[in-house]
Amino acid sequence: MRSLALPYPPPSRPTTVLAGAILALLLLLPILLDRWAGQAAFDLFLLAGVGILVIAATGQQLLSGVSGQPSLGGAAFFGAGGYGLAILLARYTLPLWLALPLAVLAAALAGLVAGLPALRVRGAYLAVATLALVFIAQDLMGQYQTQTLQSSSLAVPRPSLLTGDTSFYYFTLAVTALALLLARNLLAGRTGRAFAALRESEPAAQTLGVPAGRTRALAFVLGAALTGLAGALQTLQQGSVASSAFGLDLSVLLLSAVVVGGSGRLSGAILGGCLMAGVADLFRYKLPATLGPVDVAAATPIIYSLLIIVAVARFPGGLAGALDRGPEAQRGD
Amino acid sequence: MSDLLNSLVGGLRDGSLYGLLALGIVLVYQTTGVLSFALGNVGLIAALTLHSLTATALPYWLDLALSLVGGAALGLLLERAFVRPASAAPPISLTIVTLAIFTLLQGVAFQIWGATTSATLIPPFDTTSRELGASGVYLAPLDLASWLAGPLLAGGLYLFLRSTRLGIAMRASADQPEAARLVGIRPGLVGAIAWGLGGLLATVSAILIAANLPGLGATFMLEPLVWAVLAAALGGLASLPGALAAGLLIGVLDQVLQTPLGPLDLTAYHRSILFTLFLALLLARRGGLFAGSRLRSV
Repeated sequence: MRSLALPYPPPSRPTTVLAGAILALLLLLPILLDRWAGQAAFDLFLLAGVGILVIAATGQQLLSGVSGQPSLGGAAFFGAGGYGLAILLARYTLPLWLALPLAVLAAALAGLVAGLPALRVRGAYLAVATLALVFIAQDLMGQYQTQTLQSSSLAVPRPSLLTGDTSFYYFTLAVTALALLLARNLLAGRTGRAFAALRESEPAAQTLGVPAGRTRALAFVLGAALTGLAGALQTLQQGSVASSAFGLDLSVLLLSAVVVGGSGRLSGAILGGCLMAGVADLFRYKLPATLGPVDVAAATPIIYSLLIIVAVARFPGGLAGALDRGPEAQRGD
Repeated sequence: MSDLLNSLVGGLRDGSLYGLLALGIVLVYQTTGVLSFALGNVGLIAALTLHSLTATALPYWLDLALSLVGGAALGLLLERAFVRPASAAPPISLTIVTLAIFTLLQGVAFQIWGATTSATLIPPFDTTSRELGASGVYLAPLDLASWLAGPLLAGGLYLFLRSTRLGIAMRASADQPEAARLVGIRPGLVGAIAWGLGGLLATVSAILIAANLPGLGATFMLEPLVWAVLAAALGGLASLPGALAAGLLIGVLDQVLQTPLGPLDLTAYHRSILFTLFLALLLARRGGLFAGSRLRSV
């Protein structure tokens, strides 16, 4: 039995300094890249993608990691945010400042609906129930696409202020930083403790006055909202949206970022999100299409899967757990 | 009416094969606590191997035997190589590992066999449908083989778990892991055997599913796998007859919902309707449709 630790340690000075240093570096990065590397715009485009995956992984971390409700529904929330924004911007021509919060709200509502099964079932059953939701959401988005729009994808104009890769990079950086700050404060406070208490022992949490049903639902709403925010940003970045992108493999990607990075802690979502996005970009854009006899693009899923398998076997508590607890405490639980 | 009966023929055929795959998932879940998505593509690899073997000069029965043994061995090997080393990780991580294995096997299949193989059916299954009398109902020998495969293998598994030493050890391990260890049953062995049996069941399921397809791709087991996982969950992740029955139910509903009935045409939404029905059933009977009939009592 593990002691009921805070889901996130109180802010320590080194953490704050490290976060500040990373933020400063990221702020200066466009200038540095411009000076010393060619193709800076494309790298910034990729880095914005990393930020998006970090936000989505943070959402999944709140839900599956911290509150301990295994959810395979990530793609549905991501899609709700992505589609929500696309429809609001392209079909109803709302301004971005209004459309983005509404898209996040749509994802939060999807989370509320998805949270209903969680009031009845737990563990593996919940994973299967949320898996069903992904297929329902994808089917409905596809039907909307073919029957209402009658095309395989929906083009979304980027607002003029964000058309450049540099401005979109700064926009994503700001949103990512805000989302992480929000998640951090949430986890350090009452809500985060309630999530963690529920994960460790529901009866014990209830004895301490944690309303189990409401807290579970809240984890779904908050997790879905953050995941949906990431989906909305990705729609904005890609300039179009298609239902085929929001399948089971996206759910697996989002959850594997949490599992590889470290379940139950914010740093796990950050590390996992960066790693999974970084490896994907490496294979898709940075390596040559063929290395000797190997077709790199076709081999990517194999290497990706092996990475997940090896990472979980080597670091059961995730990279974040291995980094700060030392080798003697790497067991996850 | 004949439309509905034809849906029933196809539904029971598909459902029986989803049920077979679900049996393996339940067996693995009960003995190791891992929700295994990997088994679907163990069947994929074994079925594609059979497809390649039939092109060689070997006799067909040997091809089939090799493929079945290969599927079981692959299941066992995956447990040893990939799942067991990660057993210290939380359940959610293990689920992701089995999903990663699923993707891995799909990638391997794509590397070896390409996106789609030619439309070669796997012999000796006769897929030509014949009309039964003048009823308007069509039936192929393959349908009959698929109908029989589910109940027969489930029955075989039942006898294995009931009467053999190993089967009893597996049930003991599922029921009382600690006590089973104390009397000398190795949990690692039980888990590996469960994965092997799961691989075997998945192989039979995949071969019969493949026999009914016009062409084989690297992704043809994804949909059956999803239905099988749903069936296993409806069976409470614990009951073998429950998983098989839920597989049959899902197979039949899937076909019936795709049949236009009357003026209200919902066929475009058949998948969403089926998944919603599944959620309603799962939430209404959270212990499974057949609560009480656990693996431990077979």
